[in-house]
Order: sequence, then C-alpha cells, then structure tokens
Amino acid sequence: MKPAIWCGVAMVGALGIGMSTDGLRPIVNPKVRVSGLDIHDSAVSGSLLGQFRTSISAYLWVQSDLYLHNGVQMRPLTEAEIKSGHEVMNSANDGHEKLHNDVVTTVIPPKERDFRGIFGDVERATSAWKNMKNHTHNDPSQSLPLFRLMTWLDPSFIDGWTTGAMVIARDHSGLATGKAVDFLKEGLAENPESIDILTSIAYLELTRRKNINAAVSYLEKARGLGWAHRASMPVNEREAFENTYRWLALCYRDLGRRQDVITVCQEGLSLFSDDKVLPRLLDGAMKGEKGPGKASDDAKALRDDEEEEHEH
Amino acid sequence: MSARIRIYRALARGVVLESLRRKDLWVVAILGLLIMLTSGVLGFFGTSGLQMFIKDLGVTVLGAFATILAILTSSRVLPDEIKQRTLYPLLSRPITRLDLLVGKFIGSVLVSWIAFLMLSVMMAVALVTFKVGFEPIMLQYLLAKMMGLAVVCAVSIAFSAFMTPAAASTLSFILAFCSSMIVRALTVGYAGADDVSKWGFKALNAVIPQFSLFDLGSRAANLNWGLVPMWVIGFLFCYMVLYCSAMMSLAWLKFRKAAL
Repeated sequence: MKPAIWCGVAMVGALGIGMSTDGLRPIVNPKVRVSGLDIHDSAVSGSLLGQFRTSISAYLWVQSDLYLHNGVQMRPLTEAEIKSGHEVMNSANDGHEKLHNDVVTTVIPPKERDFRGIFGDVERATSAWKNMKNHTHNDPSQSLPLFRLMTWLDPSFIDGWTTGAMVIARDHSGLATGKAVDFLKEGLAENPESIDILTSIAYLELTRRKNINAAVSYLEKARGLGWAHRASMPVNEREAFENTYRWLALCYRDLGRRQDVITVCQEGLSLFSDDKVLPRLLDGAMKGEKGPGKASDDAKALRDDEEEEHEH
Repeated sequence: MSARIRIYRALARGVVLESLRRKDLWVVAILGLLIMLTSGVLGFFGTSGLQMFIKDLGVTVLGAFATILAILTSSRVLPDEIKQRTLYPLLSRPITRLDLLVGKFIGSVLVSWIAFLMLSVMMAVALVTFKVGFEPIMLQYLLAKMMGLAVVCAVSIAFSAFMTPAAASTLSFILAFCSSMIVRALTVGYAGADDVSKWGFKALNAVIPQFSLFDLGSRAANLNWGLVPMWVIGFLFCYMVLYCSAMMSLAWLKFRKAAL
C-alpha cells in the first residue's frame, strides 16, 4: 500500500510543479509557431510523415557536409575546448562566402590530441581523415542535388534553402545569383515567415545585384516579422533578425534616409543591446556622417567579421 | 590435425545449412532486392551529382545488414543447440566442447560472409546501373569488413554463452552500432578528465571492440583516397585473431563446465 501512496504523492507533486512552471511554456508552446512545423502536430499521419521527412533531410544535410569535406567528419568544438585553446580546423580563405561555421575540428582527433595510440593511428588510416587546418572544400555545386532533395523532402528545413542558395551563388555570376534568388524565393513560398530566407535574399540583392531598394523591401518584411515573433525565435532566425537591423541601417544610410537609420538602430538596440555594429551606425547617423563605404561592401564585411567572431 | 579440420568443416557446414533452412539467406536476398528497388526510386530524381551519396548509402546499408545478420546468426547457434537438444548427439561423438565452439564460430562467420558477399554483388549491380565507378580501395573495404564481421560473430557467441539469445543479440547490437560513439565520447572527454578517469578511459578503450577500425566505407565512398597501407591491414588481421581468440576463450571458460 505504501508504495502506491508514495507514487500518488509523487505524481500529484510533479503535476503541481508542472502546472505552476510557466518558464517552459513559450518554448514548448510558443505563441507564434513556425508554419512549416504545424503539419507535424496537426495529424498522426502528418506527424509521422513529418518525422520521416525531418530525419531524412537531416541525414542529407549531414551527407552534404561530409561531401564538402570529402568524407572527413567534422564537429563543433565544445565550450571546454574553446576555453582551452583547442586548435580550430578552419576553412581556407578562397574568396567565396564561407559555407559553414568555422569553429570546428575533426571528429577523429589528430595524433597529438589522441590518447588511443595505435588504435588512433589505424583509425586515421582506415577512415577518411586528414589534417583539416585551412581546409578546402570539394566543388559544392556537386552537392546541389542533395540540397534540392532535402528541401523537396522537408520544405520547412530553412538551413537547406539558405545554404543551398549560397552554394548556387558561389561562382558570383549573374546567372548563378539569379538561380540562387529563385531557389530562395521557392523556399520563401514554403516558409513565408522565415526571417533567415528573407535576409538571405536581401543579402544577395544587396551584395551581388547592388539593388538596395529590393534589399530594403525584403529586410523591412523581415523586420516586421521579427518584431512580431520577437518573444520566441529559433537561434538561426534570431541571428538573421539581428543582421536585418544591421543591413537595413546600412541601406538607409546609403539612401540618405538618416531618420530611418536612427529609428532602425534604436529599435535594433532595444532587442540586441550588446550588438557592436548598431551603436556605430547610430552614432554616425546622429553626427550626420555618410559612412565610410557602400552598404553592399559593408554588409559583406560585416558577415565576414561575424564569421571571424564565431571562430574566436 | 586433419581430423580436427574435418570436425570444424562438418560443424560449420551444419550452421550454414541451418541458416539456409531458416531462410536467413533468403531474407538477405529479399533485402538486396529492396536495395535495388530503393535505388530505382532514387534514380527517379536523377543521379547526376548524387553518385557519391549513392555509394555512401550503399556501403552504409551493406555494412548494417551484414552486421545484423552476423549478430542474429551467431547469438543463437549455441543456445539453439541446447534448446533443441541436438547438442547431446553432437557431444556423444569424439568432439570436445571447444571444438563445438570453434566449429560454430567458423560456421557463423561463413554465413555472415556469404550474406555480405551476396549483398555486395547486388549493391555492385545497383551502383553499376547508376554508372558509379569503383576504386581499388573497394576491395580493401570488402576485406576489412569481412574481418570485422568475424569479430562481431565472436563477440555475439561469447555473449550467448553468458546470457539468453535475446540479451546477447541486444548487447551485441548496442556494441556493434554504438562502440564508435563510445570511443568518440572517450576521445572528446579525455583532455578534460582527471587522472583516474583517464586511466579508466584507456582501459575501456582497450577492452571495447573497435568495430569502426574495420569500416573503410568513408574512404571507399569518397573520391581520391588512396589505398590503406599494408601494415594497417596486417594490424587489423592481428586484432581480429587476438580479439576473436579472447572472445572464444571467454565463451569456452563458461561453456566447458556448463551444465547442459
């Protein structure tokens, strides 16, 4: 009898704690849902199909990364490794946009960091492994079918759309940029509320086509969506939202819309108070400066800085 | 010596025939057919640019199916003989319990190799259909995988001497598919571990079966990886012999005095 009483007490206690805890509610049940994921919750068949699609597209995502590294498995560094100054196996600067976060290392450690002795040596010889310091990538255009397949299987997979577009646009030609923008627009049709996709289109419009007005229209849309969803947002979308304010301020600066620069910077700083770029732009606008360069170059430089910041 | 070889051959033949009778190899053939059909579905999307992906998928599926069959076959060869009481007529002949163990092990290895080669042929047909090229390292992949399957069989038989077939196969599956993850966790955690834990990590790494060493799939599936040096193949062979001997010794220690 006693165990049953204890079980009952424990269950009531757990229920009480669960009902009184509202800290997890915005995460578990956000007010604004990512539209692409709704189908997973709407019906059993949708949920099962959603799981399958998500799993397969995640598998393809891993495969595309493996393909780029010719089979060498990479992983992000742990917090402890970053603190201890673990060597970063960053990619070489080949003049293209970076295809992945560079705070990575090989899954199989190099000899000097491997305690396994001969087992480590043999694994490095039998697996696809090489020192990936300043590594280069396989021709990413060959992995395009994988991006096409993964976004076809799971159209709500935002990273598939944005990274796929960067791979398409990698050769900097007008044709490639057009194809990349079309690819992103296809993704936007599937995910009309994705800030990441909107800012990616804006980035291409700004840096490749030098079309500031088109970039502004996408960035303003991203700004509006981000503001509406600001309470709960996935990490990738949040990073894209922060970039929205930076790039929008740059565009308004080039268009000579000083008051808009100030408004955008102030709104951005109210959400991202530790941002290092927005205060500079706000200060410049207050002083009436026109800025040191073009928005397209500055946006590209900002993105590069951001990637370097990730590395360190 | 020749008498012993005859005994092993007869026992191994029995395991292969039993596997055929239970239609295990037919299941492999059906799985192979499924692979071909799945490849056909993949062809629907067009395979231009997907050759490496298809090859990688091929070696992954090949390795997984062969490992599953190796575990299912070897984890029940001993318990089934005991359960069906066919062990007694066997042991009434001039056969020691060690002979029985070794014969069953050889039979299990043969079954898993036959299944693996059958699947390999079907996979090769599927890959050729998609005009996916082969490199010489594919032969090394096959050789190393066959050695790895022998280690899988030895581990499963050793477990089956100590526990029920279901428990033995479950534990073997966990080791076969998770040992590489455990080793990864050890290598990541080693730098931050204290001295006692480091000693424990080294001990665990030495004991745990290193199945991932036998998997050349990542080199075989991707481009321009050279052949694995011969000393590595030699090491894998020695590791296979030593680990299989250790596992068989463990199984024998339990089996030699077990009440049947």
